Amino acid sequence: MATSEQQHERGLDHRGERRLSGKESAVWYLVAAVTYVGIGTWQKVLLTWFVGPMWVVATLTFGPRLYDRIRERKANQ
Amino acid sequence: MSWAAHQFETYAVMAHLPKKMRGKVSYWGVYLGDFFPDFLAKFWVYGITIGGHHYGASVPQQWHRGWPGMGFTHTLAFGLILGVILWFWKRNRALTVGYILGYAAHALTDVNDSVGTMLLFPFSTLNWTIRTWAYAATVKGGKYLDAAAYYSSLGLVMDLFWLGVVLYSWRVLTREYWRTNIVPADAHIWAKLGRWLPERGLLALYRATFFFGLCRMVGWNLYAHVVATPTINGVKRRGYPFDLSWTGPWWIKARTLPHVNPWTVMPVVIFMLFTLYTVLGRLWDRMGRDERNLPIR
Repeated sequence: MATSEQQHERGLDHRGERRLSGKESAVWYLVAAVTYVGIGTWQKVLLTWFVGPMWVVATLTFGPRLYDRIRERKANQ
Repeated sequence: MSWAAHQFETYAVMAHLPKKMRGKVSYWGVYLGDFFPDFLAKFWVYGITIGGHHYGASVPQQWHRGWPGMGFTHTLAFGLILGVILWFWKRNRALTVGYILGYAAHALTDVNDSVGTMLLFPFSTLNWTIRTWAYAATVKGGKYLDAAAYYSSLGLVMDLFWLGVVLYSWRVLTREYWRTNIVPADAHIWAKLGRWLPERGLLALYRATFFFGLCRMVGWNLYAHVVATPTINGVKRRGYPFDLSWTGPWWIKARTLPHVNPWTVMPVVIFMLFTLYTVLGRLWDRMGRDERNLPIR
């Protein structure tokens, strides 16, 4: 098992997940904001203190994970 | 009432702490303190409609900010009582001081609408209001009309002001600030959350309140000025009209409660804020000593 220093050097966090670069991070926040405002304006019940914060956390947590998996699968084909 | 201002001010509080408290005050404390007054009082302001029957406050402003009512939840005295309980329960100065600062930020920001808050409760039940914009929560209009009125008035300017304060202190939103100032003050909470979330998720959680504030501001503005088609004074319009005059907008009656002279409010708010920071600053070191003297459990 890699030490936390080794993980940090490889650009991984405490869970061994990839750290995002500034640009990539900005893109994911933008994705979260555009989708949330878009859907929230249509369904205003979503513009609540619980859904809003969960939306961005879920996008930033699962978005890159999903993206990496799709990219990996395409590379293996 | 204020909308996204309450989200933005949590970061503004963190960015403008006294020097000796920087990196030591709990962000979760500030967040909970700022969130708690509306969590306790607001659900019944708009109420819910089930099977065509509306359940909720018959006079929203009385329920939300008045006495009798839940107005005590928007007072410094109640925030301080909860802070003292929190201190004796947890003996955690980072959490307690953060909580009181967050609570005060909420109670003091809300003096801006036409209802205001009972700043001197329990000594006086008069409300303190500057009447900057109209308090517009009504039984019939609900959240939609309230949002439309707020974002058509100086309330929008208030949200933009707080957004500007946070953006001016933009470092408070960076990963570096989160790692060096936010995490150390609440290390055990972030460690627990870290079992479930990667670092980017934890950082998103810290930024989530800012994200929500910004998105709700944009979302409700889109609704109020682009999507909605209200009929005002018999004229059907595309979007609610803006009115940035004092106690606007003109197209809704500003709700109010018995209050003090608005000219006396700002000096008292500044005095209370100054006193609060001074007292908390004095207590900070003593609370730290009390924490260290606790027996190890």
